[in-house]
Amino acid sequence: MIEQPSFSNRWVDPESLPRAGAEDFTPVESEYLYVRLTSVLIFFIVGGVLVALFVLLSSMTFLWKTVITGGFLLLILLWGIYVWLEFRQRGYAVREQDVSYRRGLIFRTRQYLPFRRIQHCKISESMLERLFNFATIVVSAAGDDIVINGLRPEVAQSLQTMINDKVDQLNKEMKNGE
Amino acid sequence: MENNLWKRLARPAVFVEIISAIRSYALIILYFAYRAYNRAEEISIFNSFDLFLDFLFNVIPAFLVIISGVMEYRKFKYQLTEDYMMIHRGWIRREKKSIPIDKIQSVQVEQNWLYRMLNIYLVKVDTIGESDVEVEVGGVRKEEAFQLKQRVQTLKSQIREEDPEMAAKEEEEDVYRYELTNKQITRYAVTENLLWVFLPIVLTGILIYRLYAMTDLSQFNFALIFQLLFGDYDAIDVEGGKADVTISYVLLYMLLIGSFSSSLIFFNRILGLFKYKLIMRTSEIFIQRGLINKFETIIPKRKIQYITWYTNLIRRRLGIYTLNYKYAGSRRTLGADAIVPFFDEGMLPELISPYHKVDFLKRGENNMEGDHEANMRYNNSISSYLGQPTQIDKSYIARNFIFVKLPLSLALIILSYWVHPYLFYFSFLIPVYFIFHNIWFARNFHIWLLPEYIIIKKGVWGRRHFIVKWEKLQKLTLLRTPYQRRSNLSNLILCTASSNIFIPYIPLDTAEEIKDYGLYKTERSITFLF
Repeated sequence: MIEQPSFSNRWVDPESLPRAGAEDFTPVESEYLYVRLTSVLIFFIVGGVLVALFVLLSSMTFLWKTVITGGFLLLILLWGIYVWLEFRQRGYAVREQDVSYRRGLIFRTRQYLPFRRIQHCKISESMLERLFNFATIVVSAAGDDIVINGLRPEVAQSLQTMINDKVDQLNKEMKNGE
Repeated sequence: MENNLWKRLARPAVFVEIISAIRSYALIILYFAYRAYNRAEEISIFNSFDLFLDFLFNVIPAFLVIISGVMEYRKFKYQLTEDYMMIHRGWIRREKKSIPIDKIQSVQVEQNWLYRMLNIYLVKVDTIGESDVEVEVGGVRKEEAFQLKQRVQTLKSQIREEDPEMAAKEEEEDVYRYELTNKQITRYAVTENLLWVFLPIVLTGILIYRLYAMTDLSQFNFALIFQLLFGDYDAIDVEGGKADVTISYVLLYMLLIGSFSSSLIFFNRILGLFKYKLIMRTSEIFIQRGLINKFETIIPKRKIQYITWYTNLIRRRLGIYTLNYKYAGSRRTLGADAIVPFFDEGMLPELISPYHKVDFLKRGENNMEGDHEANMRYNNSISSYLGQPTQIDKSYIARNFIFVKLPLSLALIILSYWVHPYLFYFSFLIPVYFIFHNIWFARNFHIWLLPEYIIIKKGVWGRRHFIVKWEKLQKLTLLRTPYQRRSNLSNLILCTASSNIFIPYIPLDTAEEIKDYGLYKTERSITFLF
């Protein structure tokens, strides 16, 4: 049905490969996990204060208070575990012709964006990320973006330069009709 | 080169930044203003330490907001080089953006009252596809604003001159003209899917009748309906007490709004079709329509991202179709929908031709308008030409039912209890319907993968076709649930510059193949999309 192209850029399904050999996607910096966990921690502290106030000041039975506190703790714990497990799924890959990104634990997504469709590329650093010395790169096409978290600023910078150069080169090629 | 240096905003722009900071923290400021107002009668803050603390508490956020405005101003810098427009901005969240000049679609210089007072200008730089303006350089002096605009335009025009398509634009001529008669518009209006217009109206009627039955009123007249609507009568319970009808009233008002808006949409759609005129020119499509609100749309051919044409159950029998050109930038403009109603499938190749020359649509013999059998033959010819389609996996039926349709129908069943008890019993048919819906959906979902384009045909009652050229793809996403991972299936999302197409539950191999081939074709294409 599909003519066999002379050019090949085939993927090996990362899940069918042994974990040690799954080099298709570069995992993001392992320390970025702490950034993710810190945001859980911040939510835990802020939410915890609110829950504590609510539990202490309300006139509910002891059982209900236990249930609410326990539920909150369980929720945070599950969230933390989810973040930890999900983190291992994260990875990005830059090939000759495209950028790809993989994430998600329950719903696993793989996104592919060819260089030729990239509109622009930006680096964004939130306060928490700067604290841990990380940066996020957002690669935008006309329709949708790929957001890669957890890169070192210098890696992000060089990636941006590389993408920009590549896009520029492709643009020139398009202008001159190859 | 002095042009290659970083530039900052003009000084008065700091006020703009502060005001926008105040606007973005409006809720917090309102809260503290309210606190301050509550304490207003205790005049001196220096008498008690408590009050002083409170004062500090009120003042610090205000300072923070002003500081954040000032910092946003100080951190903003931009630079225009030969190839890029670069922007560094942000205090708490820092951003470094670089936009290739070729990708810039428009530059606007604007001035609202605030800017006029400060004697500065706002420059909006826009690229395609995004829903909001890409970059706002808020606050530069007049000469700098126009210089910026000028420079981007000169740089852009150098690029454009080398573009052969733009050079050919001089010789525009009308290739094809198409107009709708009033008779056709009436036929189109009558065959519109009226279910969504009548369903809320009927439900509203049932609910009003139920509320009437719950009162002890004996006579029913029209004045009474209005009094019922405003809840002037108390509902009586079985035991003779007051019944609680709050939820019913909430539903009633929702249904009223629903009926109103759905009929409004319907009339707008129909009235928008009067005086319909389509002119296909060498490099663009011009559509003019509308009786009350006039819509004029010009679509450059290369901006068409994909084409979809659809029909409902009745129209399918009569051979009435609607075609929609999905083009880049259509998300943003209201009423710029490029819709073409047509009454003869033979027109399809002509209408698709600005996008791609298709050869699978051959006009059948004696295919006259409304000739049912010929139409069916014609419809079948698409399938027979394209060969065996790829279909979605049958596990979609059960999986989608359990995780999507079942929760939805439960919600509908619960809601219908408050409309009428009989409707409640009746609503247990909804999940049964959804099972058949999913079966038909899975059966009718066809995908044809061809060397140049992909065709999707789907629909339960009606039919919807998509035709997407491979090189129009922007991004490809594979999304897999745990079940899909176990059974080698995948959801595939095709992102174009106009909107996304979702293909559920196809075999993983096919999805990978589509992805690889799509990327390959995209990477090989050397035409500008916009």
